[in-house]
Amino acid sequence: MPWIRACAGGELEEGDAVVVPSEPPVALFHSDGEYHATADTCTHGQFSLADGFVEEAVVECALHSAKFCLRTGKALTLPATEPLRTFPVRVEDGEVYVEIDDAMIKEPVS
Amino acid sequence: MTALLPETASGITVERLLLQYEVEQFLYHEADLLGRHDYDAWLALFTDDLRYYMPIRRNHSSRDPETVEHDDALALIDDDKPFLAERIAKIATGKAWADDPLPRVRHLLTNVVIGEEDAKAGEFTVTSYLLIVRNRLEDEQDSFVCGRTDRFRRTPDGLRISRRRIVLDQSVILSKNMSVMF
Amino acid sequence: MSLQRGRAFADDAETLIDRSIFSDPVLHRQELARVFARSWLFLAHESQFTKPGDFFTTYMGADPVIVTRQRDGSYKVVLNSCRHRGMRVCRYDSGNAKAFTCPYHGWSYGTDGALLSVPEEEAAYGDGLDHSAWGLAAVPRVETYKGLVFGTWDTEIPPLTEYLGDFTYYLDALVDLDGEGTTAAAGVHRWRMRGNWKLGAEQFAGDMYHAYSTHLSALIAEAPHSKGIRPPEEGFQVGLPGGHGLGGYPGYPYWHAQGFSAEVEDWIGNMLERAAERLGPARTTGAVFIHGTAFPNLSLLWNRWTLRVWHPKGPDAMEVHSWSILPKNAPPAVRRALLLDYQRHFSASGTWEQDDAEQWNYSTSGSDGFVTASLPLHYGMGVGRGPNKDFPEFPGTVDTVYSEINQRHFYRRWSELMAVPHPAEKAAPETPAAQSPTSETPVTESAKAVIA
Repeated sequence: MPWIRACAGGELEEGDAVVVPSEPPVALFHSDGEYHATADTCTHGQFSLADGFVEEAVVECALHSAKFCLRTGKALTLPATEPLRTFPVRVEDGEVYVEIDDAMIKEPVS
Repeated sequence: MTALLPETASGITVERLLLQYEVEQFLYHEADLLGRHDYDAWLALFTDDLRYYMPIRRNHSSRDPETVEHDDALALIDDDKPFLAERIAKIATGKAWADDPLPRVRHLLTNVVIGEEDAKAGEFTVTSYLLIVRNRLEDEQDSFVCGRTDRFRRTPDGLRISRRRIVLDQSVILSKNMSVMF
Repeated sequence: MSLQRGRAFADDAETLIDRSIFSDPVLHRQELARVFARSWLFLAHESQFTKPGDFFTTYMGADPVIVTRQRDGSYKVVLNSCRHRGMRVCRYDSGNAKAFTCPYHGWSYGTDGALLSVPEEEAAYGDGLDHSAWGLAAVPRVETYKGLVFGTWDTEIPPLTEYLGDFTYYLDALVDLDGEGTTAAAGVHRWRMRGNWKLGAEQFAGDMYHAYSTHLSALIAEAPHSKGIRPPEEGFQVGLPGGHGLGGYPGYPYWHAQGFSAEVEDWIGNMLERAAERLGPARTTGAVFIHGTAFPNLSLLWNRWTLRVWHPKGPDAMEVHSWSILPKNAPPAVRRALLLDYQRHFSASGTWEQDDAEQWNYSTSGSDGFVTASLPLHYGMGVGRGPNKDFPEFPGTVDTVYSEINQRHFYRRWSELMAVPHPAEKAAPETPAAQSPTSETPVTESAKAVIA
């Protein structure tokens, strides 16, 4: 399964996120000193979780405050009930990569 | 024979009770001076290096701080002793129209709690709650509810206040002016 | 009667004002439409926004709005009222948001007002809810002038710089002295006063006359550090088309009279010398602008580095929002000195402001009285006087400092607007039916401006 480059190590500040241009999109978060990747689209309200609020490995969707665990993708509060898919992350040579499905590739890997 | 108020495991001592009494009486006396508009005597209760400060409070998300306090930020009040003296001089002219005639004002004080000591500075913290009710002319009635954090300093002339931080329970000020002393 | 024709003046010569303009509830409601929905209104200073999603809530007239900086650096201003039941979608003064979700039924809008998501939409509305018609009402025109953000509901109004006209010549002496611009000190002072908003706006437009009486106690209290420096005898009032006005004095070292340290005094003096080379001496070293108003409700005090908006809260109350506007690259000690100088003298606790509040409170109380209401107010100072030729470089109509020419200008402009009903005033708004989103049912002026 392909690894797609998400960003340079150190580019993403603590609490920030970036959207990986896949289909569907994946969000890479930097939280609590680690990187986590989950599906970007909230399972509740169709909003980008990369625009959410991130604290202590939990992301809160900006639309209706649904919270998800970044490590497991589990829905932590209403109104979300469905978990997020999570994706493996690795850091290599100062770059951060996310592993996605073949079918998710939208553009050539940079 | 045991003392009437022995030292207990909670650390309450007679000395502490006496200090509590002294601080409360000091603050009641201050409230009395303000109610009588004796502003010169009131100002003398503060040290020359006084900072007298009231931050603006905001209606905000829990993610953002309620107040923004730094040198490039507005506050509701940020006075030193010379400027308080200027405020008092203004009222003393008798031509401060917002205070002519002088309002009927009362400072109600509760929850006086002695906090931490700063032995090096010779100061200790006192917090209190304050309700100021100001009535003026026919039907002007304002109330200001606030919490105060004061730094008390023991000086050769007795207790004096070197820092006063006032937190008013309003964001938009609901009175036409804040010409009261807090 | 003149008021039925929308005129503020009680006489044809326009020297008397009908005092019911300060208290009549019908006029007040008309004013919200005819004046506030037809003028450029100040919203915020650009320095309040640093990242996309930074927002600030305020009012345009009595309409609550949210100003949000977009990703491309532009500003979108939307009505803070959910299209479903009217609930405020944002109850914070400021912050950062990626979306505004109404807490009542969960309708979610982007920061540009677009209706993004409606809970259980399939079950609730099927495909009958046209998102493009039901976003937050968007202010159609938003423009900035040297850091100042303005908005207007009026799609036909001239661009902001044309609306301000020659007022910008004077405004530059606050916001563009050194070419590096200004930033606001953090925070906005907000307080409510009794009295109609126009009392503040007209005073700042043209009233230097009140200073020695209203502010006597503050002047006496300040005297010890004023070093005997006072404004010259001869000053000016400048009235401009559009109802804007300001007043001041020939250049005098006012910054030496405000209790500043030598460091601060030197910096201001030097900065004004440099500004004179850039903007010319007439409006820098050659003059001190004191008070001014850009019609309808933006006022300034140049020598206190502050501007404010008078928001109407019914016919007899106002809420003032006031900023400290400071040279961006002034040293921190200078900025702090200017900020404190403004704050200690103006704002709810300000020694000067306190007494203005008293006058505005009681000038129009008693307007209920039958006899009181029938007596017009004297606004005739300076009528018939020739122009003041001492300031030939100033654009506008220049009179001497004790004049009510600007107040008359202000009410002339007010009357022009009040004479013409706003089209949306007449009919109750008809909303698009939920079942036929593509029908051509008429919508209100504001709804037309919704982001598609």
